[in-house]
Amino acid sequence: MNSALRKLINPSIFLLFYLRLRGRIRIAIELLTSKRNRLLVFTILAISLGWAIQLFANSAFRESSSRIVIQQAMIVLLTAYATWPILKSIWKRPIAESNFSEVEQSLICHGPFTPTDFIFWQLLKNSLSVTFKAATFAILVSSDVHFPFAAFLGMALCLLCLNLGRYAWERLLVALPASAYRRFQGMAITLVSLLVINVIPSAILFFREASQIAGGEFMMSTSTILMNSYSAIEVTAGAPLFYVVKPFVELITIESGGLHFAIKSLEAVLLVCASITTAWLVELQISRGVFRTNCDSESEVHEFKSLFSQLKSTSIPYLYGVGPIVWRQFRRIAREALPTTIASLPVALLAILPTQIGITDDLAFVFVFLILVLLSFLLMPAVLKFDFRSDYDHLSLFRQLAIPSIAITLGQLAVPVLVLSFVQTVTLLAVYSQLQISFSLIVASAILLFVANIFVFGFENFLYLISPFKFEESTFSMMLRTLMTFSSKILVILAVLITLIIWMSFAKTFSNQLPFASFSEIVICYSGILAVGVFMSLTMLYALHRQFDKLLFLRGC
Amino acid sequence: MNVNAIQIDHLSCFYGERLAVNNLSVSIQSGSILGLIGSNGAGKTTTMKAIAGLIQPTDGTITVNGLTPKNDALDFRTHVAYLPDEPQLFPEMTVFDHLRFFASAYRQKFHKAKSLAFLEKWGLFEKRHAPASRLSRGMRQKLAFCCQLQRSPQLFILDEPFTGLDPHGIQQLKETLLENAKKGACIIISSHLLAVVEDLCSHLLMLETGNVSFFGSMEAMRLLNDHGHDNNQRLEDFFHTHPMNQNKLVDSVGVGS
Repeated sequence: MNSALRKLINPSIFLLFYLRLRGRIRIAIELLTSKRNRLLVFTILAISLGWAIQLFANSAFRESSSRIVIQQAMIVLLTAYATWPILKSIWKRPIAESNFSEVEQSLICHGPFTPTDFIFWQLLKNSLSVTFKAATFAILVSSDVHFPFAAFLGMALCLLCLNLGRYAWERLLVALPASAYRRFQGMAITLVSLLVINVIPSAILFFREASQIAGGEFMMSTSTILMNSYSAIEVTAGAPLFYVVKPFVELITIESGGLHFAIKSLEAVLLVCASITTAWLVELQISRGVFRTNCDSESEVHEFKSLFSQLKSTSIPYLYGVGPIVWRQFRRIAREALPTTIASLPVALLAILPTQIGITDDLAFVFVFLILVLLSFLLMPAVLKFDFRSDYDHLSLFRQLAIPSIAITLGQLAVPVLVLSFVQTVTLLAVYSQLQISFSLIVASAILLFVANIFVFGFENFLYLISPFKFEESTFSMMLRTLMTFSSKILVILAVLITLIIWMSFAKTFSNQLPFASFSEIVICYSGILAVGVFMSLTMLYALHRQFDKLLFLRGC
Repeated sequence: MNVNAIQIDHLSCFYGERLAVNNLSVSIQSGSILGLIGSNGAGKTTTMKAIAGLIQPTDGTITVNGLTPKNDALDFRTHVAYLPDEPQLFPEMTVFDHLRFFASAYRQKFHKAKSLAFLEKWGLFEKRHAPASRLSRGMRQKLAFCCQLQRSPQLFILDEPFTGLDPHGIQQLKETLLENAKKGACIIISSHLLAVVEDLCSHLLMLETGNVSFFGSMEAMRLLNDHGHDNNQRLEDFFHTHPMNQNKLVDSVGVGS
């Protein structure tokens, strides 16, 4: 039996997983010898502990939800989780490195391994993060489900199934010739556009009706959103994924053990096996050369015709060294103009949505502004990575440039900040055409958002430069990094909110002592927020450039 | 008896519309050391990657000891060792772990004592417990080569293998390659160090913008000089003076002759 298994899977796959894990643990322990790293690790541990306590408290003290609500929520969330990589692949073609790092490509993909070995390598790579996520989930829903173990098992199997599905999908897209990918892109954009055209008017109608019933005081209840999302997924293009996810959700929310549990577990395991088989078939086809991967896919670089090709002929302004850096990032974003536009559209559409739901103009604008701020902070930095985060391989190169580090920092941040500010300004102008509000409000908001964007990208890059890394999907370390970045962002949002509340109450008190009270309150409040925003952004820029200097010094490159 | 280890027929590689290698047909005998030279962008790396089966050529066939990269992928990879110009290693794994993994990956028995002796020979013994990320460029190059060498492949394809090596390392690598060639292994080396190529290689393949500008033995190269009688012409002179339109030599000199 052992021999049969060795024949099926190269034993070095397991050995590699063990050796790499051991190596990482050893390096992590060695890192603790430095005082700075110890501080960093303890901060991360403190944040993690905070999350864990919050998680336990959340599951222990809240009321348990009904089975149907849990099922609906799980189906909606898991379908969204499964759909996201598919949607993402429409605007950005996956790259080979997203599933195999450069070293893995060289030593595993080009090594003596079979498609079966590749799949098992992916399963092993995913196992740690899947276990962690499933365990967290089981704790979170422990008060809602009958068998927390079933919840753990169901979620773990579901994540394995979806991750392997994503892997197969991305490998397929990587392997497709450029022309076939463009055809897929065209078809997918048409399908999604049709879906959006179908869904958005119904959604607007629904929100309007709901607000009329509620007598103008419109509040969306979670259960209403859930129920409608659930129905939308069931009857639209999400249906295939719905039926993939459903058996896992049934296992998670199972009410009786014994035979029922065994059958549901078997059903889930079979789905995972189906996912493994799909991924294996894709790998088999790639290994047989059915898809012409290599020469053709590299040709995309050469085939590309820049939308801003006229820039090539113009001379680049130096601008204290900022010019060339901005120009380079601008060239990169120009190359990805279409995917970036497609990725920015949902943010703009979501932000405009409150103008259509029949609430007062002032309230609608507040919602628009808040949505813009939140999405810009949480979502857009992941889309607009045209800064240090996409320059892992070039960090040492920047040192060789005869440009001050502050100029490099400014140049790196300029393009994503300007692009995001442009998207936000266009959205605000669209909102202005829909609502009866003062134009000065739009200008004031655009200025504030611009200042906030500098802080947002500065912060994101600062966290990145603390320990630079290459982006890689579904690995445990990547998951921890994302978790830490997200936690830090939440902490910053909380800090900003607290500061805002304190400042607003101060502005109210202070303005009462002035003539033209109501006007003064707004002006004082806005000026204060802007001043704090400018101060924070400048501080962040300074901190970022210091971090960039330190990083180069520490690496000695 | 010398047999053709590598047979390449009408190999062409295109990146989109850009030509990388054009209609390359050569055969190389086992025990030969082939030097691949040419200007930057001449198509050396693409040729090597295609021979190693890492990229799928647009046209043509490649056979190594009767195996093709498409139909016998696994056996093919077992017979071939490709070392890229930038050595690829798992940064968190130690020097010793790399040897252990490679032995296991190629389903070979791992002998600890033998491996330690191997590391001692290549000056990596002191660093055996160090992760690859902490090795110098030259050491990484040595380790990547050791990983491939310990499994005794029949074809070595080495892209700029001397980069980053100290003089002692270069000498050691040359000796090891000659030793392996004597044992019957076929070796393909790409390098810009023309003196090293001249010392080491038995055959030469010169590429220019994807086309073969010379293929033949070193002796044939020395015979073909501008004056027609200088048998001691150095490769460097040959490289600088050789016109691109001497494709006729490919037919006249012949394969592995």
